[in-house]
Amino acid sequence: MPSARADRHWIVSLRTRLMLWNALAVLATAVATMLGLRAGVRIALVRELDQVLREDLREVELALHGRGNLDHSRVAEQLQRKAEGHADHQWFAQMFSTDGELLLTTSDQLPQELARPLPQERGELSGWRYFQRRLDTHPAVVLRVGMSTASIQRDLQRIDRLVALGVGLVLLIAPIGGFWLAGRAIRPLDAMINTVTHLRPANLEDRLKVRGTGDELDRLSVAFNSLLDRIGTYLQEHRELLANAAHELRTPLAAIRSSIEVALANQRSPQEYCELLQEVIGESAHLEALVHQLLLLSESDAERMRIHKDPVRLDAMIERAIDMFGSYAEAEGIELRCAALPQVTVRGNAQHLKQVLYNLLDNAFKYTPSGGVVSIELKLENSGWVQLNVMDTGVGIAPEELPFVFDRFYRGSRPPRSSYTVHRHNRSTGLGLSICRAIVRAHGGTITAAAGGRGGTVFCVRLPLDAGGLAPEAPAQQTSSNAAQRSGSAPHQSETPAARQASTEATRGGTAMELRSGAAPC
Amino acid sequence: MSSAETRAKETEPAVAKVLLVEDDPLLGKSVHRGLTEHGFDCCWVRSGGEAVRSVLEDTELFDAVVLDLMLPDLTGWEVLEELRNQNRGLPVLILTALGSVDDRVRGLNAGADDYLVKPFAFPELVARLLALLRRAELQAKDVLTLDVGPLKLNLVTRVVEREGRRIELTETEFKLLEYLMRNANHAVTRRMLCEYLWDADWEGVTNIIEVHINRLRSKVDRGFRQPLIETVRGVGYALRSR
Repeated sequence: MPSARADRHWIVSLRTRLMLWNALAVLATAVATMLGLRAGVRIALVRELDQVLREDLREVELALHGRGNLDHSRVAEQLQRKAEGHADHQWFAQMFSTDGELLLTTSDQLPQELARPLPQERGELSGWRYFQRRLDTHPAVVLRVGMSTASIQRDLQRIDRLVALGVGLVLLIAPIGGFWLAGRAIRPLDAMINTVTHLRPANLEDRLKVRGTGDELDRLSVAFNSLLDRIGTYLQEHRELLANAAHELRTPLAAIRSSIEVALANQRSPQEYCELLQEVIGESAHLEALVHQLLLLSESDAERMRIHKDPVRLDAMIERAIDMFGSYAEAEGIELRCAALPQVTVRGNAQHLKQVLYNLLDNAFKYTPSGGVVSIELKLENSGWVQLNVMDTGVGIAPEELPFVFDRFYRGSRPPRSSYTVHRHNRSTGLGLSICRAIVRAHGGTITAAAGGRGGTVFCVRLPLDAGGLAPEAPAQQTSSNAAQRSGSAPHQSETPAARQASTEATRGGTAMELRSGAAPC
Repeated sequence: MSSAETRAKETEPAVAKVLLVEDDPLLGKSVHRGLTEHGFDCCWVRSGGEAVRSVLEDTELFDAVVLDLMLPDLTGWEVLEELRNQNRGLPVLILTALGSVDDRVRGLNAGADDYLVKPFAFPELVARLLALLRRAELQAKDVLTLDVGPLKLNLVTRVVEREGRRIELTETEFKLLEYLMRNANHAVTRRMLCEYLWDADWEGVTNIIEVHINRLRSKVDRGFRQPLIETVRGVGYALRSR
């Protein structure tokens, strides 16, 4: 039901609620003030009345003073005259004997309760206020004067009418004022809502207005705008990635299609068919690699990886990489150097971190000519970070290209070394380094590329250390390349802690493993 | 010897019965055809329920299962659980598009013997399937030494001999040779070797494996008339018993 929804909307609207709260607060204050005023006025009026009665009593007493015997009729006459003078206040006087007998009264319209002496000297009874006293001069007589409180009631009623009028006015004005004030206060919110309502993924250009007052709403606008900026950047990156990925996929697809169409266009020898089909497989393999890397990239981008916070021994991982790449380096005439490895544990996804190391090594070997050096370095920093450097003495990356090497599908202009044989399914996808960056970032680290000291390039990965995995000191002894080989014995099972331990033992106290052509007795 | 002949010879001794569980008609058809042409007795079912029923009807019927994970009725995980409840020994190879590290670990933890991600190279599937069958065979007998033709490898003393002449190997080479000997006369792929040696799904600098194989060759085959380690084109490497 739309109308019910509208009602509900009206009730929950911030403006309405502000208005109601405001009206309630004003009303409560007004009522309290007016009731207080009324009570004060009443007290003042009663006190004034009491003062009058006390003086009257004293006056009568003075008038009776010096008379030996009370002549009731004369006194009555006197009092009657006085009573008539105060008739509008219904003033009265009474005299009682000490036994309680009513000796005289100026009024016969008094209630029954006032027909005898009362225990209190003064008080109020059924709308009458009185003062009574046993006369000093005539101790056998009790004199009482009194007045009706009707005049006070009249005054109070007048005040009550004023109070009611005031409250009514407040009831009328407070919500209107509240509504206006609340409207003023939330007007920027309305503007925000309007702006935000019109935001669409396709159009995130609008920004909230910052009024420059520095209040909460301004801070909200600033925070929201920066969120929009971040979302915009993120979406932009993803849009580009998608477009780039589509373009990258297009090339092998085109090759596959044309190979097949060429194959079908004419009758051919089985040999020719074979060759064309081989081409198709080669291109499919490249497609596969692309898709695989795109998935890996999205996997690392998503923070899903943060779930695996298993301890990962970086030193053991490097040892295994040395075992893996060592023979290759040797065969290619490249020296693979590794300085002493401190024992380092970080938290993260072992498979992904391994990918980073292998990608960097692969990259280093790709651009380092025969006779060059690829070195790995693992350094503990004092501040709870570990630094993994992979350096090569290859062609090096031009300074103007350095900022872009981690961009997706970025392929620099440097040529791979001449002897590097590109296998049909490991043609560069241009994603390797961006995957490295995504993984390192997902682990809370940073990755940078810089020109190396001896030409070539240094890739530096910094990762936060696992709190419990700080190694106090790095081993410093010299060891032969056999250590590297021995340490390589564990890799297959090394997901188990025992094997990790074993492989550390092999290198603990080991340093400067060098695997170079002919140096290792393999 | 051409690779086609090699393959025919590999599967000659006994016809292995393989259950293929795959719901995609095109892929299922091509895998079924490929496996049949490679000499397997391949039975193709398209749903998890059918797979479970086929296995339960006669447990002796199948030597291995090739299992897709995303199936129309039961998921592959459920099929795997069911199979493991019924028959612990039956080798299962998961063939799936779910390629993340987590999926893989989950698959192997759930009791799969191997995990291959789509798309895959067909020779890779065949090589892995054959390795699985061999492993199941070898597990039956508790072996301490491996004998392949003139080669002897002692798993306890870690001594390797060819025709009585001792061969010194590094750890990596020993493991490599052991793996080749366990799969003697069958091709193993580079990827399988990479996984076995370094637990790495890695094909970056592909001739990493080639380099290791060449070093092993220089020790095992140098000085002998008959080379034992052979490159199987388009697949990987194989150790021949001659």
